[in-house]
Amino acid sequence: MGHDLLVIPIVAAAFAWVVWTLLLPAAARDRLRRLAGRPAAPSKGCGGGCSGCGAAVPFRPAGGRRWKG
Amino acid sequence: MSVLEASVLEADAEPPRIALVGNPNCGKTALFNALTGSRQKVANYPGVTVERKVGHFLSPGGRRVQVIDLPGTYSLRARSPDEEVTRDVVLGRFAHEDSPDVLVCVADATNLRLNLRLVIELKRLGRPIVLALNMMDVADKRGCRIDAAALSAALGVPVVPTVAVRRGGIRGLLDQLDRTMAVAHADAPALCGWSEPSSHDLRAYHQEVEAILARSLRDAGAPPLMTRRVDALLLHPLFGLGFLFLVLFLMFQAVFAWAEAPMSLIDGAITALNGAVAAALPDGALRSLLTDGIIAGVGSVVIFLPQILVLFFFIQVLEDTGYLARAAFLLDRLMGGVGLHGRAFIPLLSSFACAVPGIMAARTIENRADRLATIMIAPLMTCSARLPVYTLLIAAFVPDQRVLGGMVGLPGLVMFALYTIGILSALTVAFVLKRTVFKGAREPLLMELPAYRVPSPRNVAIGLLERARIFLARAGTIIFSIMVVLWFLASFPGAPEGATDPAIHYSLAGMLGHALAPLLAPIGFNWQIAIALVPGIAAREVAVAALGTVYALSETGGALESSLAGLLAADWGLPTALAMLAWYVFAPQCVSTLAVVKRETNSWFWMAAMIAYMALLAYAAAFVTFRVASALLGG
Repeated sequence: MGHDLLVIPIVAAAFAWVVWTLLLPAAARDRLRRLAGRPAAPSKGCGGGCSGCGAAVPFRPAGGRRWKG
Repeated sequence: MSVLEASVLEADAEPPRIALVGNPNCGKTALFNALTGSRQKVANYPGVTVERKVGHFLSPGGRRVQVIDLPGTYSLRARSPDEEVTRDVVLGRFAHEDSPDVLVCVADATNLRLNLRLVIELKRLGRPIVLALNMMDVADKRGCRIDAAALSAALGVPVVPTVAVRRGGIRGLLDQLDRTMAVAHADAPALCGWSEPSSHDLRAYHQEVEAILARSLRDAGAPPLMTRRVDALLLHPLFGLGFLFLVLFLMFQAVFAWAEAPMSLIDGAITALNGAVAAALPDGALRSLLTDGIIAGVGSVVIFLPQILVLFFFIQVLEDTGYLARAAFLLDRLMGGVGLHGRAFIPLLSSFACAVPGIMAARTIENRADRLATIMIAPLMTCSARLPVYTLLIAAFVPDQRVLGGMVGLPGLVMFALYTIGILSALTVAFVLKRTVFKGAREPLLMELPAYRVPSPRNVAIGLLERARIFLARAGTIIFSIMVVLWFLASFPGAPEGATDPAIHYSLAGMLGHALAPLLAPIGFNWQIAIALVPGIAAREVAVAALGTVYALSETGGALESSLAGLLAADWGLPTALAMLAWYVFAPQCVSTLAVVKRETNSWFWMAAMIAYMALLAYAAAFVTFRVASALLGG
């Protein structure tokens, strides 16, 4: 029975993820982000969950590649 | 000012911005990747980059530099949406963005005459320019000798030879950029007075290029003889087409033959994992979530990773060799027959991977009607997300036997047929659209054919790794989350006391499935399929995962130990399976595709029109298939 309680947070987190990522329109997501004091997410360029287009995914850190002087 | 204040100001200042500008397929993205450490897609055909990409690097001089990779263009006289992006970035027309501080003109050293015309045009803007003379290794092999110093003197801009794909000359380019950026801010004029070059201007640029080449080109080298000889064969109207279809046919045979062993391994691992979890946990909700929901659902999709990788291995190799641009040329006549522009081939080809980049690649088409027609048919091409659905049904219903004298596997043949149906459907829809909604004269195809190249193993490996990462990321995020939600909906509320059927019948998902079932009964779909189709709207392969979960929760006893394909073979008739295949050839999915159609057409109308026509076609095709198959086979 104790094990089965673990199911509740897993299902709740999955519900929240699906609603936030797939169901909520981008405009509503940005509005909620701004209300929480965070900047709007930059556009992914592909309209949603798909990254099949190989959208910009740098594998270097945000600072970019360092070239030594 | 204190040292501290100075460093704070330095940190707050916008980093200098450089833009990579050049003709299509001259190596801008390869240079972008080399400078920033990114892994943007590069391929040996024009039109790969259709939007600007931004990255950063820290130069040897300690500057943090923003670098913008732009779509290829032959002139700032933009004629298509991707060329407009380049023009607008270069001229600083985007909101809140000045024009770049330095323009790095990337020129293909093997085709200097064409490439220099754009350099001359950009020079007229008066912005600081550095010319990266790229593909110098190929130029050397052809005996082409360019005097970089003389070229620099004649152009009046610094010239740096590079081999971007192997990171050759990057250090020299960086040093030159540091020197140029040091003086870039002071003397950069505004670009508000720019006007399109007239045809008279273009002729003047051409003459100027000839004069510059006379001073700097020591030896033009021999044209690529091998490319011409191979093209004589592969571009032959009959032999060329036959070769193209042979390549595609072999590709689909390999998708089944090569992937069989690794798929069995993954299947075994998933079954073992499921058994271990089931043995370790007591019967209850957590065990059901893990085994019936997550492992059965996500596992039934992950198993298809080898097939996806085999398919993309072929596509990547064909892209790198330069053959795909030839395929566009070969199919131009066929595409022209239905009224499509020849340039539609690349967007349609990209749609075999995913319709999203395919729809975006339609930006290279200048004419709006042609572009809309291409966008509307792109989702009919068989994207990789359909592969798990097709493979599952083929594994369940098509016997694994050899046909045509034992030379060809039947599963591969059926897969080839499904891809062909997708292509023929797209061409048929294009034919109708071009004669009704998007009327207009067809424009001829003008396309630069790249030289043949040996595929770079590194490029192929990176492409495959990226594809695997994308596939597994989807399995670990979208599919995982949807399966957890679906498991919950398919498990609660539980079965009432005295119920004889499994609990899923009485669950929320079961109720939804039973409610939708009458609508789908005419096409042979049962309530389990109805449940799977709903989350499948998010992405096609989710339907496979959903079927895995739904059947795991629906079956009891010995049936549970069977694979999903085995369960489907036992539960569905052949007419239902064929109807399901027909449905997935046309079904209007996925959410990302529809969103990108709205964005690229800037209209809700075209998105709604796409949903309507594809849903109608999917239902009609499934209905006809189910009825005909039932009549012929009995079902």
